[in-house]
Amino acid sequence: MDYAKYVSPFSSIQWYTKSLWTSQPEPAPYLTKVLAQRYANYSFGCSFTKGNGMGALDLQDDMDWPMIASVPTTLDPILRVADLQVRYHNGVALGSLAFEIERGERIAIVGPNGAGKSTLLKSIAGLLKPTTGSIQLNCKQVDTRLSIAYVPQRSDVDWSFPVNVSDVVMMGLTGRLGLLRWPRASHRALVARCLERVGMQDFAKRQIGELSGGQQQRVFIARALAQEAELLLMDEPLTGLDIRSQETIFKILDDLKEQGVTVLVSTHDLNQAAERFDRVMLLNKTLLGFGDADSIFTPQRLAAAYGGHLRVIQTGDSVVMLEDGYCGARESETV
Amino acid sequence: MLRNVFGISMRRLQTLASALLLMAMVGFLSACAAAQPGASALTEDRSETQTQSQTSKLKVVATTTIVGDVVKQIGGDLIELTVLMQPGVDPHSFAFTPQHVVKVGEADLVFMNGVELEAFMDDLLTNAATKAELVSVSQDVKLLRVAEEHDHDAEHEDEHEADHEHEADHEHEHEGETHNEGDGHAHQHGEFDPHVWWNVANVQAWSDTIAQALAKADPANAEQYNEQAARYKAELSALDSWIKERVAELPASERKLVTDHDAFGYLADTYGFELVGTVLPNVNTLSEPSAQELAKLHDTIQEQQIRAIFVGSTVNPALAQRIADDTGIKVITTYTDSLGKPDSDAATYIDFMRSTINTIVDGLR
Amino acid sequence: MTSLTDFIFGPLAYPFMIRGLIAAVIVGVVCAVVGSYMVLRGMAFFGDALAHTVMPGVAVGYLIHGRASGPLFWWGLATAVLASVTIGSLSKRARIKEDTAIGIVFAGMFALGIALISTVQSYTVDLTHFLFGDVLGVAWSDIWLTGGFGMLVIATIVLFYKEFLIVSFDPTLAATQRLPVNVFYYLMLVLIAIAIMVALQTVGVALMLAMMVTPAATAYLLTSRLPSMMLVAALIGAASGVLGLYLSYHAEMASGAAIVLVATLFFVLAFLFAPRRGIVWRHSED
Repeated sequence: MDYAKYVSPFSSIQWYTKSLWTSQPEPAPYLTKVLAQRYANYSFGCSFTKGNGMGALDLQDDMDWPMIASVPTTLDPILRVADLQVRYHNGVALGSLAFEIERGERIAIVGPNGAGKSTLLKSIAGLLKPTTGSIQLNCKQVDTRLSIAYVPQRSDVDWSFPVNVSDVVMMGLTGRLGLLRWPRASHRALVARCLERVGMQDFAKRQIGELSGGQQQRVFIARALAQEAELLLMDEPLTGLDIRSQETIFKILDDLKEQGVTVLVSTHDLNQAAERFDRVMLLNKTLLGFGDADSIFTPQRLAAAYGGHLRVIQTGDSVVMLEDGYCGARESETV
Repeated sequence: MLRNVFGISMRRLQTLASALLLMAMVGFLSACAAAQPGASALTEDRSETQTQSQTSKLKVVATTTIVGDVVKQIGGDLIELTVLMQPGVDPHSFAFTPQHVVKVGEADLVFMNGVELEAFMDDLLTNAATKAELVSVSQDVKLLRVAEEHDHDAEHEDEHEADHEHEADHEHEHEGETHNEGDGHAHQHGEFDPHVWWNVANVQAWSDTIAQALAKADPANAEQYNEQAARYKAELSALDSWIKERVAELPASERKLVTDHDAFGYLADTYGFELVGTVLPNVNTLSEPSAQELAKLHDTIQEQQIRAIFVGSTVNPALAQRIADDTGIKVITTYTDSLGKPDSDAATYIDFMRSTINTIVDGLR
Repeated sequence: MTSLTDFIFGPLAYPFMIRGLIAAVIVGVVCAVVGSYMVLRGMAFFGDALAHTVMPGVAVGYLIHGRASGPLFWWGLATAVLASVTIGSLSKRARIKEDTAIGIVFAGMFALGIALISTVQSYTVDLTHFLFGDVLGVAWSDIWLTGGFGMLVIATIVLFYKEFLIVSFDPTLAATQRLPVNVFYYLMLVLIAIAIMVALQTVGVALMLAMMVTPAATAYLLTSRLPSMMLVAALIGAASGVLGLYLSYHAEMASGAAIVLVATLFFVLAFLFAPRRGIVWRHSED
């Protein structure tokens, strides 16, 4: 690769227009690679990040973004967090977190309101910049940031926006399509397949505000599937859903587990966290425990997390945990 | 996006843009303040320094440039005259500044056009708390009513005796430049047309009123005031005859006026012009014509072979220009509610009238 | 009662009517498309505010060039884009709500414009009225200008449709897709500023405001997808323009007011009778 060749924006444009009709594009000019390093597939619409010699170009990523060392191997944990700290203008939201998550795990993040669950998920997704610490992702895609799908809390979505279910799933492909490209039949087929996998194919043309809570969650999962995400982050997806909807979601998550998709879910339901998830992370601004439910849900740890707002009642062999109906303030965010 | 190429992040660019905007604003303000000569933008007429004249001369304030000029012709060096408006200012949307309030406060006598032309007068007087006497120079003038439609027949005429107190108490509909719709003009008339100065005889009546008021306030110089008034009235008579001569050069059928709005009521009535149509309906410059009205005007211009549309210098001539282009006629700008700058051809009332009549007559030929 | 042909073709005998109809259609379409985004993002005040924030720019332009409305337009456009970006910047970075930011910038810049003029000359007249047009007073050059800019705005929106969609609906997804969210956020603001300025200069304030908001709000009640919303809004905007002008001609009504009334009437009809969302419909389902 002759990167020393002088390349002007003009030759980038030439290269780009040529790439529109060739199926085997030439390696991108220097300027294009510089821009692409930041925006990956997004900027120029071809997936030249896959095996196009990008790795040979040793460009520095953002110096203040301590993330992503892309090592495409399946042996390492998919997510490694070290000394993560996120500070807001009014105090510390997350302090000194360190953990590892293996590929294919289904993790529940529990904690009281304001514990930093959303903050943690957003930091992993790349929406919030941590004050210190590092988040390391090991994904198959060279640009690991595209492997993460973030499903927002239902209250954060504008349900009256004029988009239907297909549109939302198609949005997941926006990055893949790139600038000045339109979805083709193959993309529409992909969207249809993703909707089938979550059982929402009959609702494809419905406006999203007409859906029930469970259906809304499934649409966002379908979007994550369209993104071909390896790591799925879900912010309180089960809150407010009836049992049947929750079961449907869990069935889909089981399906995803078989595909090797790692799922992180924040939830308030401690019983569910104990029974339906591989490991549980107990969070209240700091990591109070990460492991099996049995070892994490001890009275001491729970008291430390919920500060007396949780009652642990021993009934014979089992333990029943009752959370006080305390609705504290939401974590403030600056996203 | 530009980071790796230029080394500047989007965030920094935003900060830079905000900072530049703030600096630009501050820069503008300070530049303007520095460019100011420090005093207000008033035209002042002084023949002696202020300290000397404080006790000897009568302090007089006039509102419009036209009133100011007539007062100056009669008062001359015997008074200390301040005119509130500068040449080119529209009296209907004029807003006074603190300097103006000070001047009115110090004045002995205030002359205004009256007939609800000066919508700001109430507020100004309240703020100034002046001991001055307020004189409406149009108080003895025969006023014309504002007609709904411009017929070929004469409009109603009424004698409207109003003393200045009554005028000052009138509830003015105040539309200043902060009007949301963006059209800053407040050409708000009551029942009567205030553009009385287009009839020279009215200005002669003004002269009498002014001389009377000046004599009353300054009896020592009463004789001079009356003399100067008489002299000025003679000049005005000459002007009146001259106007009639010029207008007579036009055949009767050629005296049709199409204007942008109704400013020439008195002119038409006194000197035999015919007000055929206006671009904006009625006297209100704030109003919008309907498509129907514009179409009628279009037809009228073509049927009656009008040659030109006359617009005032303070109104946006766009609409008039469109109609003129469509019908193939010209748009001619004239002075209307204000005198021109001192070095222009309309620096005094007499010049103003001559200039306008010349423009109109030549335009209609 | 005139015959139908007279009714339709009568007004077309006048060149100003033909120009007015073309201008109203172009402005209706462009404003409706841009207005759809404004309505969805809760920026309906943006139009009115921007019409006033151009004061300082127009003031400087006036001081330099005098009354010629050509240069004033460019000064106004530059100021509008600057104000637009400032509002966006304030609401993004200072975490002020968008309508608060709009209010701050609007009041401040308008006052700056007045102050500029009043200190240099004692003309305190609102200069922007030299800039504001009238649908009955458009020249062919205005139509070219409006058409040109209009096409630019619509082309940009179409080309970057999916990016604008994602930035408006789900900025967090946009961020995870490594989309340059800020670029498209500010680009949209710039496009809105351009559309507003061009509409201002062609048809004036009141009409511009109504064309931005009302057809889009009507279409919102009638459609469930953004592309159809923009299309329906454009059709309603154009129809309001044409019908309003005819109304102005035959009923002797001021033209701007007539167009706004027709657009509002469409909205009221939709509000009452829209399938699924109209009041009447909902009552009949109970």
